[in-house]
Amino acid sequence: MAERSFAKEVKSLKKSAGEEFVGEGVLAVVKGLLQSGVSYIGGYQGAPISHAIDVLKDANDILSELGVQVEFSGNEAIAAAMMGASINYPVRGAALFKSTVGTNVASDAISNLSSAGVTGGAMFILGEDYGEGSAIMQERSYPFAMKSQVWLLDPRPNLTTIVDMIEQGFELSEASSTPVMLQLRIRACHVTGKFAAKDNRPAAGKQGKMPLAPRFDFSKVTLPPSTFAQEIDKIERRLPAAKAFIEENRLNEVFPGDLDQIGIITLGGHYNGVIRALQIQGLADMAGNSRVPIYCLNVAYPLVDKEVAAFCSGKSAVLVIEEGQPAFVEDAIGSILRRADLQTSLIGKQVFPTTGEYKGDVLLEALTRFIEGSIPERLDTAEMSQAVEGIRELKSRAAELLGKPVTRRLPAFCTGCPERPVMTALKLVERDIGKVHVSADIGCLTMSTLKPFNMGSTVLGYGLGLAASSAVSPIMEKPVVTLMGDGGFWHSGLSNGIVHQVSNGNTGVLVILKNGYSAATGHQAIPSTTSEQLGSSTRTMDIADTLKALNVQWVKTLRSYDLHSMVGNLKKAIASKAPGLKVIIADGECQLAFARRNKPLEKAKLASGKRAATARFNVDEEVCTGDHSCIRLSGCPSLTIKDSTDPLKKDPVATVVESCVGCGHCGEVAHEAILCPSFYKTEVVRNAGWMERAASRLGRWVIARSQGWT
Amino acid sequence: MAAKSASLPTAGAERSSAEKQVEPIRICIAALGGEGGSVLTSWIVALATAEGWPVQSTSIPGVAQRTGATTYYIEMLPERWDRPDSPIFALTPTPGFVDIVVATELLEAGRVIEQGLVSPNRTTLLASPHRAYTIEEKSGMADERISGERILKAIEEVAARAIVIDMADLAKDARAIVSSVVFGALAAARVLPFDKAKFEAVLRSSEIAVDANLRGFEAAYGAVLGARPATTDESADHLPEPPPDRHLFPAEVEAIVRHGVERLSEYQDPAYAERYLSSVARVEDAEREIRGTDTKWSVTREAARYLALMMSYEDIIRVAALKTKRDRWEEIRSGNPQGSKDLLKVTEFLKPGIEEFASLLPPALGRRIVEGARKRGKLDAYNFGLQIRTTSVAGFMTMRLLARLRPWRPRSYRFQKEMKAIEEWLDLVVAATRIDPDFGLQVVDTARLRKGYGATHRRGAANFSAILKHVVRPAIAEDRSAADRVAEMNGIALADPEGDSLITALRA
Repeated sequence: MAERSFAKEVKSLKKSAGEEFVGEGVLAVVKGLLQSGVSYIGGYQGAPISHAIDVLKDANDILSELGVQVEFSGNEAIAAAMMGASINYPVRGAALFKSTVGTNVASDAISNLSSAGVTGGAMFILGEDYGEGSAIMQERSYPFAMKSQVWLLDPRPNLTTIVDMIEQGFELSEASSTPVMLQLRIRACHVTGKFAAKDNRPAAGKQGKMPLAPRFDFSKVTLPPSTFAQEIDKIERRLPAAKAFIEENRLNEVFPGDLDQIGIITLGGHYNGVIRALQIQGLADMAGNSRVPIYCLNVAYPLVDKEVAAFCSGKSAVLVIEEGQPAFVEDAIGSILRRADLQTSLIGKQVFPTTGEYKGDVLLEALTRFIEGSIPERLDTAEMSQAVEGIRELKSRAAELLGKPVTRRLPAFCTGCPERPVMTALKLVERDIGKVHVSADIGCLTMSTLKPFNMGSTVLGYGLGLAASSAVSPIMEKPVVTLMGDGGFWHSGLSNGIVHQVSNGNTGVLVILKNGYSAATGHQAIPSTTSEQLGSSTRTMDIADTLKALNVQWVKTLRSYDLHSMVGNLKKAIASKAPGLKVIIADGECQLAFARRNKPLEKAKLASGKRAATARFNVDEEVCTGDHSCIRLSGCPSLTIKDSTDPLKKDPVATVVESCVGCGHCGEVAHEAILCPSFYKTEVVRNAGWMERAASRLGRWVIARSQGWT
Repeated sequence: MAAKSASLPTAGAERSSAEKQVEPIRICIAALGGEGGSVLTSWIVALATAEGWPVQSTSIPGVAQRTGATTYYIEMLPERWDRPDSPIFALTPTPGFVDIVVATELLEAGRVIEQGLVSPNRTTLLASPHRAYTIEEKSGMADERISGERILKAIEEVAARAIVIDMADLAKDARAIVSSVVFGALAAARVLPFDKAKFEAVLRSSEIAVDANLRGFEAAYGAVLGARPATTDESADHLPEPPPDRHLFPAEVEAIVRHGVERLSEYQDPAYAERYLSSVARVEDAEREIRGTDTKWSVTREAARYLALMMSYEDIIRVAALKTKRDRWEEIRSGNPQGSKDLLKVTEFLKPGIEEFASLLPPALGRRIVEGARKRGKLDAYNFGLQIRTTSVAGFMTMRLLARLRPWRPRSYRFQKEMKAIEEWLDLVVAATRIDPDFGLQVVDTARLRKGYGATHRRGAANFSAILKHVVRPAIAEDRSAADRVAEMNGIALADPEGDSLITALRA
């Protein structure tokens, strides 16, 4: 069961012409695909596209009714390779994943696909994970489009335009025999709005076209000499065809304005922010009517030279709005202007910061500087400067009042997380045997690199942690410890990590954190997710069995909350002189997911009169001395501090807050690290049997007598 | 798609429409994971939708950013929109141009202020003074908490209107999620042009947890309108008056001393408390000697505090007594709401070892055992984990018996060891105070390192002794103040409780 349910919302995917669709970006994307008549959809989760994957999961019935084949791909390369169907056959399809990490993984398939070209429309929906909220290195998807000759759509962030661009994107793909990418930034994925729905188009199979005759066309195989012909076809036929389609169908939009000696060229995704900045400066209204002409690039790549030149012609200056680096669009426009021999000044990164997200104030300041510099004689720019200056003053006043920068609130392992005990164990092991080199991976486990653990010296990619440790091992005295999630194991860690280590005879210790899901992205299922966890039947693949089949000799499966045995086995694995990889599978279900699926079960149990116990932990305030060693070994969000009510104690004492789920880790830490006797567990037992009740009554009686109660 | 450009009005008309346009209402919510920020956002959207107003929300839900901060941003146009196209709303807030900012935790309020989102010209800030501490703040050995006072002051200074209510407390008391509390505060603040009934209608029509949400809503509504009484601080006045023949300390010291006497009489006996009083008096004499009576008595006050804490060191007897104390049951019961038929079980996690047992033996024997184990590196080798259920007869009686060992304590090895350490420290405090009261105060503060149990306590005690031996004693011997150096060393020892930064620093 995924973290977020769209069970209710997916009903809107059934809307037909004449109805109004109301909802969130990710839902509109799927609706757009259905209106385009896709036959297949593949995808891999990852913010900001995770929720689109959840929509697909929850819309399973609606999709199968339309004949759409949906696959929850094992990784992004698999999702992209699915598009092989569109090379020879007139079927449309889409692959969804986060970018640029997903695009990196998929790039082999993307390159081959784009070289071969497509018959049926093929579209990548990319969640552009850049700026605030991003969890990855800061890069752009843009160069993938350029290097592989894939068209990149960057629609204005409203549902109507997004859905339009999906539909038109498929037409563009087919008109130019080229796959397209449509990128959505995080806020666009979650923006709410509405659009006029159209009828869904059944998949090709449902239109009576199937089955098709198998087709072989060597010109579509990426093997020389085809590849040379494909390169020529890309540049000489597909690219001009795409530009012609974009121009004829006016995919890019021109919004005229009376201040026509200047202009703004913006990527579609920044359009709303640009309008807001213009609104603040009194240069646009709520409907988007702007006094400064705007050329909005819903197609970020390729640029249509003619359109660019026509827009710039007669203007003294244009401002290019393009977030991130390098500034591909700005550079391309520069070269178009040069070739067209236009003398329009090109303003871009000289008024914008080179790096980082273009938020409201960034856009406002850059736009104001541009306008000040280009047409001061026609506008009252003093007032405009005041708006920018006002924000500066506000921030510096705030900084002065706050005294010092406000500490960042970094993410951490959730309350009850089964991965925390493993990090605690590793920290305790290091206390005994000294530091070891820890190689981290992608997933929730990457939080190990943050406080209070600060473990995991490198993060090289999803499923690549083990490979990343292979050249470190020989230069270390002690074996390297690699952390890998079960999500990373199935994504690529199995082949890129374990197979590689075993076949090269490498040693080292690998801890596989088996929480049952792709947890960091919102609890999507993975191959080792059990039917019980999923809530429906599935073919579960077992990690330990898989390792055995791969000839890994040393495999131990431990309950992840059993700190004592985790510490012991980690020490054993590190000390072992036996050849080969030592693998510890830390088995513990993600507590968020467990709680979600267990809640209705517990309720039913209670209602039917069966015994149920709720446990949680707490700290005896008087016993706690306020040294916080427990926090340094746990970092649990529910284990925090509070003022001591003891007037003698100045430092805050530890406390467990309401959110505790009773995982027991505090108690285990107190035991294993021999911390203190402050922790105690309370259990509230409901529907207890008569024996248990009698024993409890006796206990209460004895305690009351002994304490002199009446 | 480019149909819009064809329908554009002429430039002149456009300008006049730009001048009298209605501005959108802009709302930014900074919440923590699990507080229901997305539900709150959907309620606010529902308010606008019910009115027929255009509205847009966006979020950074932070699926991959577990337990970090989450932000939501909403814009609505406070009028009906009859045109076929939609109004253009922004997806990110612009500093200085946000009408309502919600921050569900104090540090988050600081952050939105830092970003310039709270403007004195237009922003109503709904904030909460409670804290969810960051890992940096809570993992320190002493007290690394950020002062909330500056942020509270900034809230009052920067916001056009500030509404500060304890959202976490209100939600807890009402057994509701924080989002319902924020929704109630929004209604009461009258910053959105909808009456209370419309807010409640939204909660009712959501059909999920309606009762709990209405409870949270109502609690906050009342709190904003000032119906909630302020909480008061605890004082020391409830303690018994000292007997008439007892020496009275200056007022600044007396409150702490009374707590100390109370603590130590319970810990051992009244004679033990007497011993405490005469020790505090020694520091008082030294401080009076050098500062006279016109002083705030900082050295004596802090010495009284740490002396009481050190003299009530946590041994098995003490822990067993605390674990079977009567008020403890009452506290646990009230903290774990149960029905009349439900049972409550309490399990203690203890792991005593060689030191804990040896500490109860006679000094000569105890010392021999501990020293032997230390030499062989086996101090932590024989601890055994106990999970004692103190709600069972056997578990409770075991703890009670241990607590009954109290009269034996003064004859134990640990007692002798602690008293020796305390006497040494006290002598140094007195001597240092005579040189420079600030020096004395820093020596007092060194006692802060002696806390925790087991290995934590051992490391802390070792750091404590090292500072006294290598910094304090030499300075006293040369009759000079080492206040700064001691303060520096205390800071280093507290900042790195697990490492050996102090040893390195002492060598430098």
